[in-house]
Amino acid sequence: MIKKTAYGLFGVILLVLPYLVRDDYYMHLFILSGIYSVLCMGWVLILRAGQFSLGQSAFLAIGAYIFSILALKFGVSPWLGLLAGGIGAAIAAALLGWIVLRIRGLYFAVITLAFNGAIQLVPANWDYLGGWLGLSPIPPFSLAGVEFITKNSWYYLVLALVALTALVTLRIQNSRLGKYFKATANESLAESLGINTVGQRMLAFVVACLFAGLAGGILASYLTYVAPGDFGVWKSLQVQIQATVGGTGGLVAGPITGSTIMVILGEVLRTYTKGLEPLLYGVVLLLVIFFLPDGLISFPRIVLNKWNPRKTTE
Amino acid sequence: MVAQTLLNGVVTGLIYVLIASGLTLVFGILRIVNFAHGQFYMLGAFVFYLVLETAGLPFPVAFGVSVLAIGLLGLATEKGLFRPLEGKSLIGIIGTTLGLMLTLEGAAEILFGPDDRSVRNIFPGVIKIAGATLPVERLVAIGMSAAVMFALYWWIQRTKSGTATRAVSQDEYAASLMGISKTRCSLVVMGVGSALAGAAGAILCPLFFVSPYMGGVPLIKALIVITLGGMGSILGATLGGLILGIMESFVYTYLGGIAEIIGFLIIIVILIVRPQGLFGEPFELAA
Repeated sequence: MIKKTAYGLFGVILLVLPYLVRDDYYMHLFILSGIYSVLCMGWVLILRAGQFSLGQSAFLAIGAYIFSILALKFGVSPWLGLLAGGIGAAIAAALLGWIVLRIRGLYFAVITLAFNGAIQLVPANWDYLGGWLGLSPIPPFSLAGVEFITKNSWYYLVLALVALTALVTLRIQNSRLGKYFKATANESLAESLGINTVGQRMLAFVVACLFAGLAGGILASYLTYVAPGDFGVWKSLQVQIQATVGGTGGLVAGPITGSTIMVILGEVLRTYTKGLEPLLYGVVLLLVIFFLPDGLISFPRIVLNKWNPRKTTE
Repeated sequence: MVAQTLLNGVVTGLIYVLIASGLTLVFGILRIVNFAHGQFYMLGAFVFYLVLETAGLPFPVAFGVSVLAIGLLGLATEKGLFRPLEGKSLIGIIGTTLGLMLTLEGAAEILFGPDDRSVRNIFPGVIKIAGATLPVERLVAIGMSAAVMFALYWWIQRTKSGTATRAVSQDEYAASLMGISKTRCSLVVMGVGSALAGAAGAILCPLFFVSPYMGGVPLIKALIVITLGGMGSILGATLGGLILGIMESFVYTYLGGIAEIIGFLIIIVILIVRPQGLFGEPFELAA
């Protein structure tokens, strides 16, 4: 009951946030946080299925570039382009996954990292895709004849994507598949029960990358440009770190908390010196791993447990 | 043209070898891929720069200080960060080394500033071999890299602690029955592996610029090299590094900037054909 009320209240706050904040710069930060939240939720979904990805920004790039090319060179409507970007990223994930999802643990992390580096270089070395300078100006979305120009309209668009991602990942978690994911923690046992562990990993990977692709389309249109430099390994590391910092125990709350806090802190600190952002990510990640292994969302619970006298006597 | 490309490839390859060998050595014992290894290399270059240019001390002193300083950094990292990771999940292990990597990179940017610096050319001159021109500076770097690799092989094959290291990487349990302490071995290996990164920084920084961001790309290349050569195998890292360097050099000469993608393609092919790499033992790491 309390949990439901809390979620409801959180939802209402998210809906009226633009009217509470009333500041374009902070709305910009919330929009970015939303984009990262989508990536982080996908990342945790992949983690649940037993893989550690270090290449999510590659799929963001695929979605962003498909969207931009369709809009700029073929004049396709942004909504169709968005869908195409998502599907393109999902297909790329399926192709990569077909080769590498059998491989586990560290090797998978290294492959996805290398994939990220390789994908980034494709547009960089291909003039049709704009080279290192990238492509611009990418047209905005429009709904019922109204173009998305104000920060608020972008905020609601991103919020809708975040909500959709959250619903789908929660749906997966609460389905039979979610139980399979849990069972996959012991891979050989799960396989002996007839669970297709590779198939599940594929599903989690494809779904996560589909949403990463959708986020890419929105990001490109929001920023009005795409450039290879924005889709480097650093962004993938950010995703992994934000999710870990927020907490990987849940599919939704942890990733969203982590990305919102880290994006806002990171962007604000970066205005002083560029080096403060990696320093922040590094130090916070180390602190969380050593002192708060369940992430920031476990913090209130830990504090409550400390204050609760009955718990301490147990 | 071919000779020049080959020579360039060998130089690039040696860079990869130097960085990858420390990474793979550490992995063989600790089963941790130290993502901060590239930043150790960067710090090695900065120490070298500071001792040589700022303090004005001679080349051998600067080299020695770099190796020693980064070796000590490795020892401290092992004791403070890696040892408590025993038994932790992949998130904890990868996360810790990534956290260290970003902390070092950010701190270096704040301390030294984002600008590129260059070390003066200590060995001027150019030599022509088989139609290829080669600056003496590069020859010195090749020679020193080779010397460092020989020292590493000598240590691991001929000394007592090297033998102990090989024993632990082959069979931890059997090694413990022979009275070899894995804890001690991990410490030694982190020291040696990190010192290698320091040496790489000192040897290579005269050829490139020194900057806080110089560690990222070599790290990714080194990861590709050890996946190709087999994680934990020094021979694999040596051959893998040379193969990647030479292939990249040829593709770069004939096809251009797309050469960087070669590494990824190599990994994909290796994983299909021989997942444990050229010289690696098959193993599995739980997620």
